[in-house]
This record gives sequence, structure tokens and C-alpha cells, in this order.
Amino acid sequence: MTAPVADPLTRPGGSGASRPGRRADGGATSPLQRRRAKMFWPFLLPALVLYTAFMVGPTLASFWISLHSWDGITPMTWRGLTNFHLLLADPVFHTALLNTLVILFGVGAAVFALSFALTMLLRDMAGRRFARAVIFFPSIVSPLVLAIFWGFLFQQRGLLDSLLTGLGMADRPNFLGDHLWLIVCLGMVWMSTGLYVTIIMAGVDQIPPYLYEECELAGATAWQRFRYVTFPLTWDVIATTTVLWTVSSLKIFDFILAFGGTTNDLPPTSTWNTALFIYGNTFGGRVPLYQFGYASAAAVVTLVTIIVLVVLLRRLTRREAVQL
Amino acid sequence: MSIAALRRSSRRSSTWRKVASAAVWLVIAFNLAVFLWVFVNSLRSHAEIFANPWGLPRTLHTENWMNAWVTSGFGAAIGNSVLVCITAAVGIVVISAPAGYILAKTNRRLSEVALMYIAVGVGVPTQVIVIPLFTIVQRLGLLNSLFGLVVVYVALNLPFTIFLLAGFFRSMPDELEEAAALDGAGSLRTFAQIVAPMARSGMTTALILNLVWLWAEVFLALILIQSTSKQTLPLALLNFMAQQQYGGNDYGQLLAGIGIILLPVLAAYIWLGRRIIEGMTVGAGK
Amino acid sequence: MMTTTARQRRAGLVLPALTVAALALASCSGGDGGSGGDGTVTYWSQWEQGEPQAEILQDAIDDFTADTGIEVQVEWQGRQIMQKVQPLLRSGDVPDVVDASSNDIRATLVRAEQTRGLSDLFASQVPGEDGTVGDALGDYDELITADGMDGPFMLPTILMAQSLFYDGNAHDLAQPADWSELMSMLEELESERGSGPIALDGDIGSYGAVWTSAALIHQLGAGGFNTIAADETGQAWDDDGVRTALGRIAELAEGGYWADGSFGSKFPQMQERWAAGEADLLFMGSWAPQETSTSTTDNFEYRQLGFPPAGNGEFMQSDVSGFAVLAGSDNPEEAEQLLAHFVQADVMQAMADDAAQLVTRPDIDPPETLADTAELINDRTAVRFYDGVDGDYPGYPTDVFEPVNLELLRGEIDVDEAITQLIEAQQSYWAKQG
Repeated sequence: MTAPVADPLTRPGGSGASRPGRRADGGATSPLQRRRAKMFWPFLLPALVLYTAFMVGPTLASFWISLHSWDGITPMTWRGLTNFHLLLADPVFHTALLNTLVILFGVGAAVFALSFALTMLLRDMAGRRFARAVIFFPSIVSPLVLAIFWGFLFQQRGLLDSLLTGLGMADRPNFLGDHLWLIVCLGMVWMSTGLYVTIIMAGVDQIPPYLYEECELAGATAWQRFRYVTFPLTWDVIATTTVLWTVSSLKIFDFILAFGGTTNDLPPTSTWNTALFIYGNTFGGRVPLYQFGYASAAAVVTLVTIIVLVVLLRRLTRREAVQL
Repeated sequence: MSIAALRRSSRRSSTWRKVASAAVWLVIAFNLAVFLWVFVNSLRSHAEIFANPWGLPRTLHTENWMNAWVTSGFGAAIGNSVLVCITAAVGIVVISAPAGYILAKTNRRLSEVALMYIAVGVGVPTQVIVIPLFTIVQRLGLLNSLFGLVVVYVALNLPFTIFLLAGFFRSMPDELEEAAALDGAGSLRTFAQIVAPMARSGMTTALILNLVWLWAEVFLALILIQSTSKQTLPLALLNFMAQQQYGGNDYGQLLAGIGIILLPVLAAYIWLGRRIIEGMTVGAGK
Repeated sequence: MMTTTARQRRAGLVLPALTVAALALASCSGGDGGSGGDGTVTYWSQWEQGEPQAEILQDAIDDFTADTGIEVQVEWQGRQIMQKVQPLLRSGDVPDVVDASSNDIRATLVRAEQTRGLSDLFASQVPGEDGTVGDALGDYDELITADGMDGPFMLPTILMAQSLFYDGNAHDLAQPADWSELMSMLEELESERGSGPIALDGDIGSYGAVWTSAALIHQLGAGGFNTIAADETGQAWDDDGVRTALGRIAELAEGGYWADGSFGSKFPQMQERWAAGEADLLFMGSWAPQETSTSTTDNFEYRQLGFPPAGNGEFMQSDVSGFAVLAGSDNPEEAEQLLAHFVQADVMQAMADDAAQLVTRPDIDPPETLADTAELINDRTAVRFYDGVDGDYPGYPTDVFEPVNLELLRGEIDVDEAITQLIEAQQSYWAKQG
């Protein structure tokens, strides 16, 4: 499943309201505001404590662990930047990082293109609600289930293969053998698209219908409607959605695990992303490796990649925002 | 543009529309066919599926479902999953609601900093923190414990939920609260009796979203739970796959097992579908 | 990250407070995988519920409880047992008994010094029999002992060996005396069938790897492959013997001897198709008859051949599987009693008869389905599965050997390219260790 995530850098509840409540309260001195101030820590602390202990702490700890050699039992030994040097030379990690970027950009582009196409086509279609519900459904089904089905679909003598045989195709592609990674990517497109269709559709619904009516009168083609109306006016939604995709695409794990491997053996390294890389070097596999230091270095590289990408994406998308 | 040109273009666009909507229906048909295929084949024998995945059941092998239910241990796993998911989801909302409220409704510099601080957590993927997380859970003696899993689930889903709920609270008016304050109601009581009920729809959305994610969560459960008696449903499914591979392969039973997993999700989806869809869309924020 | 200072201010307070709270809650949550020294033995098993091995052990356990009054709590964990046990080693809350292959136990439990020496068990009486456990079992010392450990680290019960399986009802095949005889046999089978005769579930890396490891072992002698893998520079791959062995493996793809779908299916589809008569040969461990028994054609007759020798001796890749008592066990004596119970002739006999396994008691006849393998084991020198590489160098198979091997098996790269890739991957692997 793709975990939807709010855009972390946009303040919720609309833009520009940097001082919430001020209008209603008339400043921090109102009795209500004073009471709230008193409740500030009691209300916030439980969340802050848990969040800090289980998320922020571990994030910082990852940096620390990445500078060591550690199996989780014996004391850590200092290794400096060695783990990072090794990581840069490790072909398995190269593949994992490359695959992560392929998911992010390649699968992402496909998901967005498909989502936009579907949104545009669904816009004024009969049975739109039903269609949306069906397209969305894979988003809430366990990726494990989808992965098992995907195997049935693409394995030799599976659904697709026997269909092609039935159609008299003698030289059928060996989907899992020759195109494993492509099939994994297709699966990710399939399981992610529904969510993005609904998000983009929600954005498109905000566009005043009269704009489309005017287009109709002006004789604009579907592409022109998309290019000059839909796309610019959903830019904000696209901007947040790209960040959402960036963050959630890096989390993809269970689909690859269940599709590429058996329960006992990890998927082939050619299909690993950084999540699989970290799992494979620590807890996973027939004989788990527990290379905590080395895997933490991969975690750090992943995190830095996310930060850089999110910041870049914000820069890129902000510049072209169109106000209605 | 001439009238003729307009007509031409609208005619073209209507053929184009036909092709396009055919394409959409193809996508929809694919999705429906997938689940239909699973259910149909869950009623066929292994040999039948093995020989031809496109066939229809000759006799209904309903025993697949019975066998899958017995060998998979899904019953106990569903129990664990229900316990973990509901406890965690409620815990998340109970802890996030006051935090989201106070961050949305106080205009101190500190609340902005705190919200920012929490917001960055939304972007941290599980694999980045899983190693220290494992160590912490193990040191706390919470490894292989459903309680430990709940604690981690709660902590890791707080950032998103706080963020989501802060948005809801922000859009709420202050009048009722002011009235309650004048009546002399305590802060906690005001929150529980006035504020929370007003944000009920937001909190329900948060609850449902968390339930949906937690129900399918694999990575953390895989690392933090070891006993088969404590496995959540996704872990039981992984185990069931292994059983089917090593303990005499049976596609029919495997698909029946998947059917067992799918049915409750499908039921929940039919019941709460709009809510789930809208909730997940709200997450991405307009 | 940007909020470091906020965190630092609070961390000092937060963590201890949280620890106390969590510990308080955990103590009443009763979340433990092991037992609390109350005399109940906890056993986590490598078998899946419903497998015949599991049923036999469950019966034996029921007998054991009836005889001794000691309760046993079993969890059928399946093959990923070590993945489940290893995280708990640090928490101390471990099961008392686990079972796995010697390679896997060595790579995980022995490496972490978490097994209990079983000298006492081997010296103890098999319940209801005259001899000791040590007397009853064959000699597998090399597989079950480790440097720096007193006594064996495991009780071996099942013997596993790798051979070429075929249906004796469909073919009458003679043991190939060398590689070229195997090739002409394959040629014949191929032309008879019109497609590749060897089935391989190529998505399981180690199933492809045992082919290559067999070729290397027969060419270089026992331990030859293992020595190469231990070379931190990786240059040991650059060797004429290696070229010969890998060249043979490459011939399998060149000749088109892999059955259709060997590299495009999901395990266990290929071994099932082999059992259904869609391929002739399957190079597999002695568990094959048990795993494939439900899919065979009528009158299927399990026969086996040895891997063809190459003038440096005749070998069988083999390993034992059995039980280890964890160092952190709360009930080690009871656990050892249980293990002694598993050695009884009737339990072992059931393993051979009902689960079609070779067992480690020489006085038990092998199952008919594995008669050839049993004979081969007697005639040939035993060498560890995979030449011990997977047990001695964790991660090596996935990171280094299997990706390259898969390409070689499929004929996507030639021998020189394979060697170049292996050297590079192996250097990177060893740089990571230490």
C-alpha cells in the first residue's frame, strides 16, 4: 500500500494562515488563549515523547550507527566513513539505489501519466463513482496479495502466458526470467495508480466547470483542455502529490519482497530497492546478516536522498504555481 | 473558428471520447477480473489451475476454503491483527488529537516549531529507522510482544495524524469553547466534551486511515514479531505462502487463503468506501 | 536534522520516563516467546504445519509428554526459522529447542555462541533402548562440531544429500562416469523430448548454485570452492580448474538442456512439472520425493544418479538437519530429554517411511524412494552442501555468487565474464566484512 502522507512542508488547513486563531481570539491575551497556553505541554508532551523516542531518536541514531561496525550484540567499533566508502563501491547497493530512483521517477511518471489520463477520461463519464471505487481498490489491499496474483499473471504458463499461447503466439516473452524488474515496476504502477487518480480527481473537481464550457465553445481539443486548463489549475495538487509520491515510493517494500522472493529466500538483488537492501543486510534471508553499521549507512544515504529530492521538488514546483 | 470546424472537432472529440472511455472500462474490467479470478479459482482444484489458469470450476471445491482456514491459522492471526490495529489506531488518535488541537490553536512561535518538528517525521521511511528501532524495542524487552508492536505503530503514525488533525482543528470556530470557558469548565473537560465532538469527522477519518495502513503493515511486524502465535495477518499470509510452497503445493488453497484475506477488506470497503477514499485524499491535502 | 536542539533538550527527560512506563506495561503484557523455566519445553520448528515431518514430531512429542509429564509447546515456524530465532538471541527470551540444517545453525547460532554443547545428550540412553544417543547415530562429527565448542552443537536426525532425480518408470538411465557421458545422456533426452530435459526452479538461487558448486567440487576437490570464496582479493577465481568447471555449467545452456520455464516460473512450479513428467532430471536434495509426492504421474518411480565425477574423486553434497538447544534455554535438561526421545527407532523409522527422509541412524532402512541416494552416500565422499560456502560466509550466496551464477546458467555471460564479475563482487563482499 502506498501510505498517503500530507505534504510535510505545507501548513495544514490552507495556505497563509501562519498565525492560526488570531482572528478569532483577538491575540494571545484572551482567556481562551491563556487557557490553551497552559494546556500546551500536557496536550503535546505524550505525542512529542513517543515521536522523539521512536522516530527522531532512531533517525539520529542511524547516523551514529552508520559510522560503526556493529552486529547488534557486541559493542560497536568505530569505523569512520568506511561504511560509506564501501557502499559506494558495492554493486548491490548501486543496483538498489538505481532501482529506488527508477521507482521514484520511472514508476512515478507512469503513475502520474496514467492517473491524469484516467482522471480526464473519468471527468464526465457515466458511472464515475463506481469506476473510481474500482480503480482505487488495489490501494487498500495488502501488497502481499497483489504480489501473489502478479506471480500468477506473469509466470510461465500463468494467465498472460497461456492467453498468448491460446492466441497462437509461439515465441512468448519470458516475463519473470527476462523482465522481472519491469514486471515489478508494472505491479507498482497498478497498485499505486488508484490513490493518485482519486487525489488528482479531487483537485480537478475544484476547477470551475464554466472554464471547460468555454473551452468547448472555443472548440479546444481534449489535449488543449488538459494543457491550458486542467494542468495549470491542478498544479498545487500535483506539487503536493509529487512530494507524496517521493516519500511513499521510497517506502515500497512488501510488494517486492513477496513478488521477487520466496518466503525463505530474498528476491534477487537485481530487484532490490534500498528498503530491501537494508532488510537483506540485517534481518532478512535464510541466514540473516545483522550488519547494522553497513545497513545504517544505506539508511543515511536513503534519507539524504529524500531530503535533497523533496527540497529540489519544492523549488521546481513552487516556481510555476498558478493562482486562480 | 467556423461552425463547420467546430462541428468537426466535436465529432472528432466524440470518437476520441468513445475510444478513451473504452480504455477506462478496460482498466476497470482488469481490476474486477483480478478479484473475480481469485474467487473463481479458489473453488478449483490445484490440478485444474495448474493445467489451465483460465478454466472455470467443474465442481466447486469449497473444501479449499475450509482447508485454507485450518492450515493457515488465519483465525488467530485475525484476532491478533484486530487487537493490534484497533488498539494502535485508537491510541494514535487519542494521543494525536490533543497535540493537533493545541498546535493548531495556539499561536506561539513554539507551536510552529513543534509542528515543523513533527512534520519532518512524515517523510522518514521505515527502513531508515528500523535498526535503532529494533534495538530500542529489544532493550525495552518488547521484542516479540504485541504490546511492543502497538507502541511502535502508535509512535510512527503520530506525525501524519497530528498533521491531519491539526488541519481539522484549525478550521473550527472558537465560540463554543469560549462559552465553555466562561461557564468555568476545565480545559480537559472542554476538550473532551466540546472540541473533540466537533472534530469527530476528522478523527474518524484519521482512525480509518490508520486502520487501513496498519492492517496491511508488513515490515515492522516482520522484524518485531517472531512467535507464530503472535503473528498479525500479513505475517500469517507470508507463512501460509511458505506452507503452500513446501508442504505440498496447492494453488486452490492458496487462492482460497487470499480470498479469506480479501473478503473482510472488501466488506469494509463496500461499507466505508467513500470515507476511505476521501480520507486518503484529504491526506494529500488540497 | 533541523530540530536537533529541540530534541536534545528533551531527550534527557523523555527516554528514561518512557523506559519506565514501557517496562511497567510490558511486564503485564506477558509477551514472551520462550518459557519461564516452568518445565515446559518450547520448540520452534523448521517444518510447516501439515508437513509429514511435523505430524511425526507432534506424535513423538505427545508420547514424550505422556511418558515424562513434561509439556512441550511447539510453534511450526517453517523454513525461515533462523530469521525468527536470531532477533531473540539478544533479548534472552528464546525457545529452548530449534531445528535447522547444520549449515544454517552454524551460520547463525554457533557464530553467535548461542548453542549449548550436547555431550551429555550424546552420552545419555535412548529411551527404551540399550545404547546411547551417540551409539545410535552415524558419525557426523565434522558437520556438528565447531572450533572452540565443547561437544556437538546439534543433534542430527535427518540426512540430506544432493542427487540427480529421474523417473525410473520413464527412463532407464545409467550413472554417467564423467561429464561427457552426462552430456550425451542429456543430448539423447533432449532429442527424445524435443525440449530441455533438466528442470530447475531458477528463482531459488541456491537450487541453481548447487549445480555449479557440484561442478567446482568435482573439479577442485572437497573444499575447493570454499577456499576460493575465502580469498579476499577474489583472484582465486582466475584459475584453470575453475574455468573447466564453469565451462561445463555453461554447456548446459548452450545445449539447451534447461526445461522450458526454468527461469520464468515461481518455485515450486518446475519441480512439480518435473514430477508430472514434463522434464526428465531434477538436481535436488533428498527432500525431493516428499515435496513432490502429490504431483507425480502414476507409477512414478524415484531414482537417482550421482553428479558425474571429474577425476578428482566422487562426491555427494550433503548436510544434516536436526535440533539445537539454545544457550539461553531455561529448561536445558528437559530439552535434552525431548531430543533423546526423537532419536528412538520408531520416530526415526516414521521419518523414513512417512516423510520419505534419510535419517542419521544407520540401522534404519532408507525409504525406497531414496535407495539410490543412500547407496551413493555409502560409495562417495560426503562434502558439505554448497561446499559450506553458505554456512561459512553469510550473505555470500545472495551478494556474490548467485546473481553471477544465474547469468552463467542461462548462458547470458561466458565463463571469462563470469569470473571477472565474481572477482569484483567477491572483493566488495570481503571489504564489507570485518
